Amino acid sequence: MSTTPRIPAELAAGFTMLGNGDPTPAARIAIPIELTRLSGIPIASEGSILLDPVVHECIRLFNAKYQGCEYCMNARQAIAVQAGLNEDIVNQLTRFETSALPDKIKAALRITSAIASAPKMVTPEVLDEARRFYTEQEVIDIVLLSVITTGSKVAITLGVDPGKAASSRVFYPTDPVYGNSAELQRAIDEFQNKGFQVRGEVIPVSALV
Amino acid sequence: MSNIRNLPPAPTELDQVWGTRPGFYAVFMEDYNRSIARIDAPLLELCRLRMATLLGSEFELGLRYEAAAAAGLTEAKIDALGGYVKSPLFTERERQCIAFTELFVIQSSSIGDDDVTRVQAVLDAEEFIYFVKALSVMDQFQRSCVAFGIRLGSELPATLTGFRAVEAVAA
Repeated sequence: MSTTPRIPAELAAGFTMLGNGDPTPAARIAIPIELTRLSGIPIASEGSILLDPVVHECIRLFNAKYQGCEYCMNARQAIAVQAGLNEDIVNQLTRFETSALPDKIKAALRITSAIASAPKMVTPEVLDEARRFYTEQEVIDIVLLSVITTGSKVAITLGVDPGKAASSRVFYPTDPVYGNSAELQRAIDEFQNKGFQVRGEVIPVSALV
Repeated sequence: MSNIRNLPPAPTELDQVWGTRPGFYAVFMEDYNRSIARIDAPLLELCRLRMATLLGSEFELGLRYEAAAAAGLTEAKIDALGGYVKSPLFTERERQCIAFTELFVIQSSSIGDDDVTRVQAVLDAEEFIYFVKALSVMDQFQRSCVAFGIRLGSELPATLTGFRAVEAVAA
């Protein structure tokens, strides 16, 4: 783990980022795996948040960096990478306002950044700017995703962030960590039918540069 | 609705906005209600309201957690929350947990080992785990409500089990 556990080892041992049903206190407080799916992680599926995969991943990674989650910030979603996410984009997320990122991504990150720091800064003007690029539902989804991806605060505060060594690779939607719900499987099939690679060999993040 | 437009009708503004993603709404609120129920109710309520003040959530400040009142938390004590550091109304346990809540809200990644040690002097390890999880779900929910500009209406969302409006408490 990248951080020193702040809870006894016997409790830290049960920790998982996503819920797996174990009865330990640390496992009980993990993010419900169905909530992760409904957040559009690893991919959009039935009833989930639905955003462009690159925008989705930018929001997730912005929050990962803001919160300081080593595990989250060193993971890359395979579909987002195939849809155009690259390390040049990732490296500009923290200082997005002065970056060369497209205005569309900046508009989303303005919401994400405000929610992370001071949600009162999500003003009508900020939302109107986002409306230049997104539907009203997408604006709602940006807020919900921005909120839910602050969940790594728990792992960081408890000192049980699994760390860079546990991620640092591309995560395919078929990765066991996401579970095997019927909804996710149908979404995987759809992405595969569209020509996306949904499984494959391990690709380290360093190879994406 | 302050910030979101063209929403379908629903009993409350919260339902209107979060209800556009009904599955997400249901699962999140289940996790939320389950998580806050694990914490001593008066302690949770003090931390929730302190968080709401810091985040500027009028929605949250207009609610009261019924279990906290049932366990003896008074409006007088809630009114004194701004002075919790020195007020004799607060126990050391409450002071440490409220202070920790402030750190969690402001910048959780800056929470140091000393900060954790102080709160772990008043909560055992298991309580501490559940306390952090409760802070997280409250933090997420409050940030969303502020961002969406969600207001309390005459009816409370059915998903917020165990809460009532402040006016109902005062009546």
